[in-house]
Amino acid sequence: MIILNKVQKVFKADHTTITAVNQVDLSIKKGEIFGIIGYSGAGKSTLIRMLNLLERPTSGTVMIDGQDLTKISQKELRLARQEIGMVFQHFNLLWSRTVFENIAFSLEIAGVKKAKIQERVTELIELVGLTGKEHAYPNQLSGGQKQRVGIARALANNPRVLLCDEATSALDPQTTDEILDLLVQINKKYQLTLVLITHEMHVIHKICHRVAIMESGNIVEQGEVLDIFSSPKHPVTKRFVKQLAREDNSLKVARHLAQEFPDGKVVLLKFLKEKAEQPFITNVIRNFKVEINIIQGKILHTQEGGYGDLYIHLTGSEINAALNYLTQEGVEIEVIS
Amino acid sequence: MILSLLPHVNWERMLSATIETLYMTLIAAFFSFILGLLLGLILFLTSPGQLLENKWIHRLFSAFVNIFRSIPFVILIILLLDFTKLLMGTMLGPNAALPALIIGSAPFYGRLVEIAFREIDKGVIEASLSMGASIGTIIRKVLIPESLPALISGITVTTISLVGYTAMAGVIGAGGLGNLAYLEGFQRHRFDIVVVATIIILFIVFVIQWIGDFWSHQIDKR
Repeated sequence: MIILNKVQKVFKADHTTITAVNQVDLSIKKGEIFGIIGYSGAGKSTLIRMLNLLERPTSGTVMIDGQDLTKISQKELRLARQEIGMVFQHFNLLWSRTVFENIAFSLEIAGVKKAKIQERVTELIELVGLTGKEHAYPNQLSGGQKQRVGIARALANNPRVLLCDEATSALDPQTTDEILDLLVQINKKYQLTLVLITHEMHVIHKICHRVAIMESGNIVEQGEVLDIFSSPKHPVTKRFVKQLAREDNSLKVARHLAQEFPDGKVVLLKFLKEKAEQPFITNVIRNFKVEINIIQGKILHTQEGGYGDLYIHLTGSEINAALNYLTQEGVEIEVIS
Repeated sequence: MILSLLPHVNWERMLSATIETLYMTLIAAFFSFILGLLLGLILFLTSPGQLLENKWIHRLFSAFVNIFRSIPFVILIILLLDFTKLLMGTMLGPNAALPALIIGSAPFYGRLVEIAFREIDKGVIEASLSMGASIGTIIRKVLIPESLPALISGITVTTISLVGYTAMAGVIGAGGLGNLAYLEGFQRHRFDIVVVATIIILFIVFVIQWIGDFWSHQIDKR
């Protein structure tokens, strides 16, 4: 359990002060994947660095499992950091060490015995799928492989928390998905708390349980990923959601169709969780005298279930009855025309 | 045949002068390496944004390094005469040259070390901190291994400039090939001695450069 209480970071530079993170309160539950999303300069990078005190907060407290990191000595902080793994955008591996030695590095820091290091590193290499690459140097690896080394290294000391600083931002989409799958696998296997920052909505919707949206040092909105996706409130959140939904475009198409088919109705159906997996359209066509023309649709899957948007064009004599049925079933309806 | 072109060369003396030059160069290079590494570490760690950031210590050491790097070596030897006498008990011979050689080249190498450390990706240091590494661990396991190729090419350059310094020290009485070339070659108009001493010095420089390049490439896995 991570609790941030009124955490603030102010940078002073040549007579100007910049508040990178402004009075942030946040609590992250054990075992969840918590995402922080924001555009560059929103303060998310500074925020995640305050979770292991790579940046010391100007004020406020950072509690991890009941220990206030801002109040402990340097030595205690080093021990606490061994239990907080961190993965970086640019991997930050030591080029002078092989894959094996890079992973061993964090165990060496923790003072683990040599024989035990051998055993643990072998285990980790298998976990992240790098068997056979033990003796390769980082410059012989692809980006995805380098990040796997980074993850293995961060997990070596069985941390309580894994911090991911834009861990997939330097990777191509295919590799990004592979790394995200690995992170989910690790989260499930070890009940490990994951905190990640990103500017890609894709990452949030694919693996996070909860999300916080940051803008100019403040958390402007937070909650369950599904809720945030289905009803974003803050303008910045809406912009991020559009990254995935491309709502603008669909609306335009729907309006255009509404003009082309003046009879009937164009509606937007919104499905949530298990509703995204039921055959509503079939039921409507079977039970009501309507024809349905599907204009555009999309279902996205998150850790908490799916949610979908479907634009349809309805004609026939029982349009209203059909829409009533859908409303009763809990489908959200928005009539476009 | 070739030997007849070099009537004045006494090969035995040439050999002992070569050994003296090598002795001065290698001993001074060794101490310059140790002291330069320390100076470079202090310069790097106390610089702005680094682990032991300290403006005043950084300025102090930076000024020290700049001063000793700027004094022409021949003048440095003269300035250090009393110090050398105190330390080594003599002003003549290869050992007497060592203090000036080391003080002249350690600050130079210190700067090269600082530059080498600066080339290390800051993210790697940050990652080590995130794993809970102490400063000692970071020095031993990150800074030095990650900058080793640059540290080696730096000591190669420093050693080569030391060969030149020993020749200058030789003129003032430290022995070695410089001393031989100047006293027996130049002053007595026996230019064959100057030529042979020069060729040997060139050969030493080439060998040092070759070893340095080879070693530095060998360990560079980037």
